[in-house]
Amino acid sequence: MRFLFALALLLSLAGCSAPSQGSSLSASNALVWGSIGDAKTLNPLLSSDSASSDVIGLVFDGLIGVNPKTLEPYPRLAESWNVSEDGLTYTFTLRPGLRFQDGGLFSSADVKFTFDRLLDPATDSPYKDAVQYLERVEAPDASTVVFHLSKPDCSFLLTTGFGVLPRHLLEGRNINTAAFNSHPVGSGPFRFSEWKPDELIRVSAFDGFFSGKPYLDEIIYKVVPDNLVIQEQLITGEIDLAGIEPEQVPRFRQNKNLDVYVYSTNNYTFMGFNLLHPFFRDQRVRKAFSHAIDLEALTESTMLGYGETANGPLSPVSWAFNPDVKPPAFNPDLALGLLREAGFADSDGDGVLDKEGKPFSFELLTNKGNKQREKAAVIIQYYLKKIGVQARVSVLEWPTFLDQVNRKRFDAVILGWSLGLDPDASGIWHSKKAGKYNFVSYANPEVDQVLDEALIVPGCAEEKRKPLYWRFQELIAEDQPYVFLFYGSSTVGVNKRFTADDGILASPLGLLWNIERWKLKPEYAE
Amino acid sequence: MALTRYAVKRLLGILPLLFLLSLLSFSIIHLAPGSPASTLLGEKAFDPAAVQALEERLGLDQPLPLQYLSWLSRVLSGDLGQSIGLKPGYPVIQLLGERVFPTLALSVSSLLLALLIAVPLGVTSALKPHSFFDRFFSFLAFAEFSLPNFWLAMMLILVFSVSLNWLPSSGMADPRLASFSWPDFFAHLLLPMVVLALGEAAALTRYVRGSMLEVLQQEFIRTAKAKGLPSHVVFYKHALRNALLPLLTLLGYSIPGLLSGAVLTETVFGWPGMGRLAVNAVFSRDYPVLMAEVLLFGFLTLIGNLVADILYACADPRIRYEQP
Repeated sequence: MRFLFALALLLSLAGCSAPSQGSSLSASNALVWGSIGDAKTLNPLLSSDSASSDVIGLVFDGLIGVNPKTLEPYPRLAESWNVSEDGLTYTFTLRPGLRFQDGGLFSSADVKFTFDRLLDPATDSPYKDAVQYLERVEAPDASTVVFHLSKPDCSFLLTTGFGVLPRHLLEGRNINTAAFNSHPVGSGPFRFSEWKPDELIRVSAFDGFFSGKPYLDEIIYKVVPDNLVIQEQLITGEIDLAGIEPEQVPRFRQNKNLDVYVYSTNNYTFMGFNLLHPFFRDQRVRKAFSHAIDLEALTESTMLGYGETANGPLSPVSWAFNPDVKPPAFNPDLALGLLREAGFADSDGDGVLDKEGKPFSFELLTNKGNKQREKAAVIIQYYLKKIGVQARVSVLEWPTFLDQVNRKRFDAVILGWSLGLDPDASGIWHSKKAGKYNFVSYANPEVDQVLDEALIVPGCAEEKRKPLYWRFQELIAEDQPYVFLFYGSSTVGVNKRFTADDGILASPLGLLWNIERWKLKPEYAE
Repeated sequence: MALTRYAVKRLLGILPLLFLLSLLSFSIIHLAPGSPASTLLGEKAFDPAAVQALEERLGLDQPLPLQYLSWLSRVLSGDLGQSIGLKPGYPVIQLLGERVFPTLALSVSSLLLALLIAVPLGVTSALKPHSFFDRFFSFLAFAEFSLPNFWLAMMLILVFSVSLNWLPSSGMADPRLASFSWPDFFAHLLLPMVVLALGEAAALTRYVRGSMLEVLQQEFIRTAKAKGLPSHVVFYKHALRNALLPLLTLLGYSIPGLLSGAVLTETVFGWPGMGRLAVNAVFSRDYPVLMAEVLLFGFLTLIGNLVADILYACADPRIRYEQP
């Protein structure tokens, strides 16, 4: 009986080995976006992983957006805004007639609700720092929102681009666990339609979108958990858009069905020292490391020509970037000299430097799953060995890695930071703002002061903030609390069928900043 | 009715075992370094204060025995809780439930296919041991047994999806299709099913061959032959029936495997199965999901063993479960 069933199954399989030709397609101008991971939550307040943020970006929209070329804010759901002279009050006027995807009216009360939830200590949001100086939000009438700050904060404006939640669906619910988080309603260009866990998330064009209905009918966010398979599916056409590995770029460029986009991203990879470590407390040791490693060779072999050697804590994408600070020159002799000066010598002749009887051997920690960091660790190990320093590379899965770092049980780590569009980097470098991301325990009063000052510049004019950030980058270069390795870039493959109004434009914001204006090329449209 | 009493006794024995299993797994899972905050908080997870606040809210700052007791009392009242890492707030039961169909579809179909391959090959090999046929398939079985599944999967994708473009390479359904269609589903099922089935068939073939050879040595076969029965009746009626008995036991043991999923194959083929859920739960320290999976697999393993023992007793009259 069982065997009969198996036989029937097998026969039915034999009859259908060709993939589903002739079946009805739901939407011919759907875009299939490949992702290695599934989303965790579709609530913009709670998401921290890239898959969740990708989908949230399609479903939600905020008061302001960012211009892909200038990286300056511009009005989106807000029509206009102004900032009071003391920098403490931000007033936004909303566009008239906005609606959520469920038909509910979009008003200032929704904006107030969203930011109130962000301020609520019971909300598990990773974005609390963004509103650290926000005191309260008012909605005096349906189309006006007023933000009151306790202290001027030049980085605040960009925060108002946050996806707005519909109050009518979430009022009185527990925001951390609401069912809304897995079938969201926003006011962005695409309406959520289904989520098949570990398989796909489907969104479809929202005809009430403020700038008109998107051209594409559907976007399918498809989970393909294996990187190699993602790449092959770009070739077979099962996926239309996905990130690709740098080493695959030449092969994809030759494929006549694909376009490859390469763009700089606003992030950097670094080797960070535990500044409480007796050896790394000495600035000469940190400087020696930066000269011992051939940073250009390291960048080339990890990023394969798609990265840029880093020189400091801001990326060239930012207006506040200081190009006068140069990456440390590769000079092993200089490095060795600095270490000697710091009291290191190979006194027992075992090929490893030592000081006061302790050999210079340390653990270099990084997280599993990031190939570039793992490669960089091994390269650094190689260069340090040449000057007599022993680095023991250890690759840990993320939760364990974080646990070690947060308990300060580490010597040095390789990690990367994704930066916000505002150059404020207090979270990483300020010594007083109670242990945020400053896990290396860096403390320089002048850096603290410069960062504080740059946040409260009256009028927040770039030309007035810029000199302060330039100074900040010089100070960091002097202290070398990190060895800055490289600035990142993204390489993305897109099926040639797609274009956008004015063409597809890669920017540090990514490719999809104008997804509502993406469409099929006329020769592919039906 | 010794068998019924035996079964009831064994069933009652499962409860303390499950309790011990949950206690042990709970301790081990919670002793592993890291917390769900590491994946929930993004970069904010570098802020120990933020991590602590989240752990307090999730009750993870409580002493471990207390956490275990509150988990246990919830489970006993039928509530497996909510996910805290993979899909915060989502009911665990629903998260598991969504995986049942894909997991069973893949595991049952591949087990059937494996049997379809293994039984005829094993039997034929045993009929003429050390013949060319026997040696050839022994070689194939060992070769397949030593191939890693993910490699075989990748090769099949390269051939059948990329080069020939006959079959889809991942997922359960073509996302561009408007509605579910069985032919499309089977097209997606085919490659992962074949990969899993080949691996299982390699082991099963050897098993069937060995078992068949053993039976053929026995005296009742000689008797049957001596009676002058045609050889096909001897082989396929007398010998095969007896040789397949131990296979029943093996099927009992494979019950937990049917639902636990196959992590690597699921990952390469993007199959939304139970194995991937378990692994992702480990990486995001989703304790409630992990504990639910441990309970489920533990329960199925114990039940599977029981079923195997009972099947064996039913099939083989020489085995009796009697009260001591």
